[in-house]
Amino acid sequence: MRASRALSLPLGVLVWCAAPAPAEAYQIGSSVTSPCHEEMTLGSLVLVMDEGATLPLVTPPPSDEWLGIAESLLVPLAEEHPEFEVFLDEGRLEFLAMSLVLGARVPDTAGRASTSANALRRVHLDVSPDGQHRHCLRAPEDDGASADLVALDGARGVIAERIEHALVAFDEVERAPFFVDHHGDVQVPVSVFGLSLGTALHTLEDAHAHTIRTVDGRVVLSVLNFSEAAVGELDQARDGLAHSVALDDCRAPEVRPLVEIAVERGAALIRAALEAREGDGALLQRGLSDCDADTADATCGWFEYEASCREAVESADELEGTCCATDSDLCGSEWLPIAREALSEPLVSCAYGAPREGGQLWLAVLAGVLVAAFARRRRAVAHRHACAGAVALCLAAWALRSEAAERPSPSTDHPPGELSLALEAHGSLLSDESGGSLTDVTFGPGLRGQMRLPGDPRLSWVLHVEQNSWMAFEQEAHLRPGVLSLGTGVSFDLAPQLSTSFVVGSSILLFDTALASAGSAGFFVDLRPLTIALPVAKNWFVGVTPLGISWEAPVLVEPMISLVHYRLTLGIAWNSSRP
Amino acid sequence: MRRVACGLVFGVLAAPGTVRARETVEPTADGPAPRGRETSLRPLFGAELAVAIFGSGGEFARSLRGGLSLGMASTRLGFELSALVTTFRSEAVPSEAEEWLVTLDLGVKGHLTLLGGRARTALGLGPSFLLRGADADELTNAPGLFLDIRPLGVRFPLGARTALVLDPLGALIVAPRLSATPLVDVQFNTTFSVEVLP
Repeated sequence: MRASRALSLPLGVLVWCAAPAPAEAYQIGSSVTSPCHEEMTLGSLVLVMDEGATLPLVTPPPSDEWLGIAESLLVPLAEEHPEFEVFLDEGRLEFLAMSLVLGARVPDTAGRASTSANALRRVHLDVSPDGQHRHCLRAPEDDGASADLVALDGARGVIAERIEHALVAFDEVERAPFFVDHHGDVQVPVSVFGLSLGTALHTLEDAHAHTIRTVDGRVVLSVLNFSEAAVGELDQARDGLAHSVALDDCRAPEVRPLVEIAVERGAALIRAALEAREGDGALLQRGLSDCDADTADATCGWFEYEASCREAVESADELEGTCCATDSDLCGSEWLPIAREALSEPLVSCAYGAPREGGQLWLAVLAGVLVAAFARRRRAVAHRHACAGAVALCLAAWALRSEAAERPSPSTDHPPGELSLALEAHGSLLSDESGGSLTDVTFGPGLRGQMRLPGDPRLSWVLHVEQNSWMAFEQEAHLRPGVLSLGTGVSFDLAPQLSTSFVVGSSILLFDTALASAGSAGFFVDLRPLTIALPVAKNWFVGVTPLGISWEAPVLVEPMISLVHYRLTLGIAWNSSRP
Repeated sequence: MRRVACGLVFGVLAAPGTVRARETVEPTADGPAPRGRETSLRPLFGAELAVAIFGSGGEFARSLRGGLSLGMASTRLGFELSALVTTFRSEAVPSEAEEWLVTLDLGVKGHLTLLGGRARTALGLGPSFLLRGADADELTNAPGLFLDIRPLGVRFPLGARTALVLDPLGALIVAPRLSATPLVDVQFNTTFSVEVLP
């Protein structure tokens, strides 16, 4: 008991770290963060539609593949925001909205699971100027008085480049990666225009979370710095103010005015892109330029730097005495104290995004119960390698068997036909997938019967049935019924109280996923390298398999569901004749 | 890092040699242990090689781990100081380039012998140093930690002083970076170890 307590602390810390590391930006939707970018992007699109603008609607591919994903993304948003229901009314509009939302998520996820902490490290630690400017943040080399202007120009460049890409292929459809719970990484058909415009909107939205602005929120006083703050190497005089988690939470009432400005400007960006498609780039140019003195609306000055600060930098390369000096109160900007409520800094807790209300509790639950999502990639390769691995483990088991055969038979007390029946509980916690989530929570009950075979008393025939529930995590946390699996195989006694077993059978999906229907059937493999049986009473044993491998593949057509779990199994077993 | 390594060596050399285990007779796979010889703490040298035969993401041999340990052991309990090098494949996005990261894991390992010497359970814990990481990792040099859980392995005695241990599946959590965006890798390894009691 003491040992398990001692283990719980480091495990808890590690899994806390393995929990999703939200992006250094307005949050994207997951079970622990709010769908800020998604809501803001669709909000901008609604504003444009309300004005009666003609949208470049592309006919989606005839397959329903994209539709399941679109509905998994848009329906939960429409439930919270009835104005988004309009996107579900017409296929082409739904396709555009889905593409925009995927585009708005891409800079933070690169299309992967938001829980793929290791895979996404490069995204979050991309300290190149482009990597930081696409979030409207200072890059490490953006130092000194001119750094804010460099970062803002970089963000302008990102938007111009994305809009140009959107227009070059505005009526084309391409495939983009997107993580779907249980299926893993799926290549989804998207509108190129929608995807590119979505990434441009992401940068514009972030410009309102990653800058300290004037009281009206329209002009930038200082651009924040994530890359150096996150590793504890921020020198405020040189690197600027640290990135703020508080400004990232779009649902916090105190930052709503900034969010509303960002949504209005997002609508202006969409209008500018539509105009540019018609050959008129004036609106886009206006948005990327500073406003005139007498016109300051959403159509201009998206990245405008405070005029006196710009003048000081351009004339003397100096910000001292201006409203933009980082050692000042930025001329009383009301956003500065809010930003300072939660500045990014190196944290063992590893989470940089503020979870939505209740999210902290979820993170605690995550640390405790290791809630998971699971990514599947390159399945053909996976299957080949899994088979090779299974062969290797079988060879190891064969070696054990050979070694055991040299010992006096431990099972002479067990007559052929001896029966045992076990009621089991199994669960998995962690995944070793390098590109996927580190956590993989599944659990369920099982029933296993064994009958000792004639010939070799160490061999038993096994009949196994189990249910395994899966935790979904990408969009919202849900416990799914998972699969029902039935299999048969053999168990071999390696020594008294030690056995190994192998079961193969069928696995049936018990619920509808975004891309597959309940009832789909595939295969199931259960390999238990070592099981220890501990006697607790006459004819009764506790069986422990500290680590076994379970491979469930209930959907065998693309996009497949093929999941490998590393499990702990505990069972109470009754044996018909064992003393 | 050199100081840590020196400290580990010193710790082993200075380990109290006078500590004695409980005077019990433990059965071994080859029969009861001779009284007064097997029950006392004895020096233990170990070498191990671990491989993640296949990862759940479809990677074959996505991690390799090897190293040496030395410590003290009785017939039931053992404590070792270990130095292991772990290399594992990590996929980076958006480039999807695979990187081989390398860590040096210096730790303490304890093991408990079960079923009269036929089985063993072991636990290791200690600091983990990232020797080769992604470019961005160069921004910080703070060590992380590792946790090595081998719940059940089989021991094959190879004579009176040597044993081969096969841990068919163990869980290794290597976290050489815990600050900034953390680097935490989970591996399920098959480990082959040799124990020598000189």
